[in-house]
Amino acid sequence: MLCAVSAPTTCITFPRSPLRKLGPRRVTVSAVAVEPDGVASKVEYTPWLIAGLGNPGNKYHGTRHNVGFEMIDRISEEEGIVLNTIQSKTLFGIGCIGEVPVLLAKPQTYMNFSGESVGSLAAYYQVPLRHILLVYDEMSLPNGVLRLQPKGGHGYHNGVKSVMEHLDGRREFPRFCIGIGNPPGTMDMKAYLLQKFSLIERKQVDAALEQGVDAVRTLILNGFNSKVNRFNLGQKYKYHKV
Amino acid sequence: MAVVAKLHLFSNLPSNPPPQPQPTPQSHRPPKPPIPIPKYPPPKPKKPPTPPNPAFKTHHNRSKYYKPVKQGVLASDDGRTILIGDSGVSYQLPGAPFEFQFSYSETPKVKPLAIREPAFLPFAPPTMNRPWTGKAPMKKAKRNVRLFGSGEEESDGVRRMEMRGGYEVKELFGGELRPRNEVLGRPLSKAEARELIKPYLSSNRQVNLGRDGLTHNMLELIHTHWRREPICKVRSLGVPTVDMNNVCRCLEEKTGGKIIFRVGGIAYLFRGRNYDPRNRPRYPVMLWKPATPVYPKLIQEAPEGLTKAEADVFREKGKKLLPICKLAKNGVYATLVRDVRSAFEECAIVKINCTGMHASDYKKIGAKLKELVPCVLLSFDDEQILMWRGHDWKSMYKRSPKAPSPVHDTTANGMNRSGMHMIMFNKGSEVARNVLDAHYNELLNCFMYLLYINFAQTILADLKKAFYMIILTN
Repeated sequence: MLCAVSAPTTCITFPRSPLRKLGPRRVTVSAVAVEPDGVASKVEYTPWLIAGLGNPGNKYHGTRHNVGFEMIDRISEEEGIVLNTIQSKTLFGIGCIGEVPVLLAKPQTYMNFSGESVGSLAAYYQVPLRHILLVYDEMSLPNGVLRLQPKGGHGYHNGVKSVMEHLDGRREFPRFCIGIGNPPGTMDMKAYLLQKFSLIERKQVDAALEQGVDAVRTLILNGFNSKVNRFNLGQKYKYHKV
Repeated sequence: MAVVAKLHLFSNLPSNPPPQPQPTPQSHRPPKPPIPIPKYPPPKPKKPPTPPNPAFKTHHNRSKYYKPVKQGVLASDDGRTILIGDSGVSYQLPGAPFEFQFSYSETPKVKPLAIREPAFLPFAPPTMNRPWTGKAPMKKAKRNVRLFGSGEEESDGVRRMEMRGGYEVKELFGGELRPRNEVLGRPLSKAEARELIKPYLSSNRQVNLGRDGLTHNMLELIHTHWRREPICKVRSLGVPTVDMNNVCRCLEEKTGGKIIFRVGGIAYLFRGRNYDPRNRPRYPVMLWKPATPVYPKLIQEAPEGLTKAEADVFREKGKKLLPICKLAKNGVYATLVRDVRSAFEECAIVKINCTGMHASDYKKIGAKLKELVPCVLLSFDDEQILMWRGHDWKSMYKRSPKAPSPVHDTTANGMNRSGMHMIMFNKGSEVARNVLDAHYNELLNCFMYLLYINFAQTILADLKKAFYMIILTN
């Protein structure tokens, strides 16, 4: 039975500007999300920090290494979280997806030093390690293929290496890898990463970003479950269709 | 000076000067050898090759022998039978603990249609059992053995004489097989297993399992390894790795050992605590590889459930399809079945790239996939395996859609979440629990929000300070 409750004060509004004060306490009633197959999944309300890795500045806008930034921009558009603050060298916005508070961050240090910003943000807001989602580009996946992992290695990505360093060498934080494919032939890896996408690749990546926002929503609301596995498998074989 | 040759000043000397020694090393003859050069016998004329013994002629190498067979006994010779049963072509010898086959893990479950050579048992005949004496057979003079007994006809019309003090033919299979539990003994603890395996992890002293899987002669080989070490490392590469579980099961059953560690294509077989190398089963060794029988064709023009036209449409589509993976020639394909199953979730046809492999290999892989992932093979051209998932394919997952619809209403243009909420009630208690959660949620939100506010206020304070400084200085 569906019962719509319109509660004008169901959740604390996260204000656009920092000057508005906290209003009187209002009671919220949250729900257990019941899926069509009858399995109830508990929503975990601990805040998430979603950090996208990239290089700041117009010069690096739209390059392969900056897909993390593009993903964060997409998420902020869809969820209505504005990135309007600067804290610990990141461009930063606070909001919520469903009932779960979420911090979106785009470190404005160059890629090799992203760890300083992400680490100090996580420490300030006391986000647990398992709720830091790192969004970055992955050369071992074909172009446009996404993958959500609960933990992993750095895959020779300097940004992830620096984040791991600043989180005391811990690797057990979830990652959202966006595939960009291997450099062709004997092309220099750094040149490949700082190149912009070709037309076909651009289209593939745009489609992937859309699917990705949905996936991030599912992850935050339900955690790592079989849906995430299905998402990963679907992404792995999405170009093997006729 | 003037020529003085005509002046007979030195008339005692000969008129012609002695001939100068000619320094021509090219036509210089070598010095004579101190002893005469030995004469070697002339090279033997090459004999024409003797025609090979017809006993060694195998029929299945490009022969036209083709004999259709049905299930049941093919040939039998007082206890030694060849039969086609549930486990394909198998050989039964009297006293053997189980039916012998050429390959225990790679015999397909499909029934064979015909055989390619006359049905012979590939083992040594039983009458040749002169025991091993370590010496050559005796010369003819010594070979005549005294025979005892009268040479008269007995009651059944046969004349019998016997050799006394002769050879005793030992029992072929060493008597009764010891029960498996007895040989294995107490199960190994994890620490013991780890200790046992450690020295063999990096060594390459192993039994290699190739495209024929677990063959009969490999059983003898594993026992010879066990004679020396308690662990036998079995490494499989290529076709058998598609179904590692089956290989491991066959290994454990036929050898009587236990697999204590298994990774990828490698299995470590432990012989058992109470293994006795002197009291082990002795199997007769297969002397040649029997010809594989003829099995029904893997690919049909119109496979089950499809017309020829539909099948051709699939094959056309398959030409444009991306292969899901590339298989190396002797690789480990342990995850192949799982990958193919998950690929079938996305698309009805799946292609695998097998360039560089032998044709018989990728056809065998196709046959195995047909059995394990149930699927229909469409084509093998261009060294790719093309498969269709079949009409009665069921997804691994329940009916729920792939990307679940989110609980709340999402508006694309960034409206704030604190609007409408859709709620589904389960039970009263759940609602009560959720209210508690909501309070916790609130607290957390407040806490984080307080942090944010704190930070924002510090920034504001700095800004204010800077502003006042500017005003004061101006």
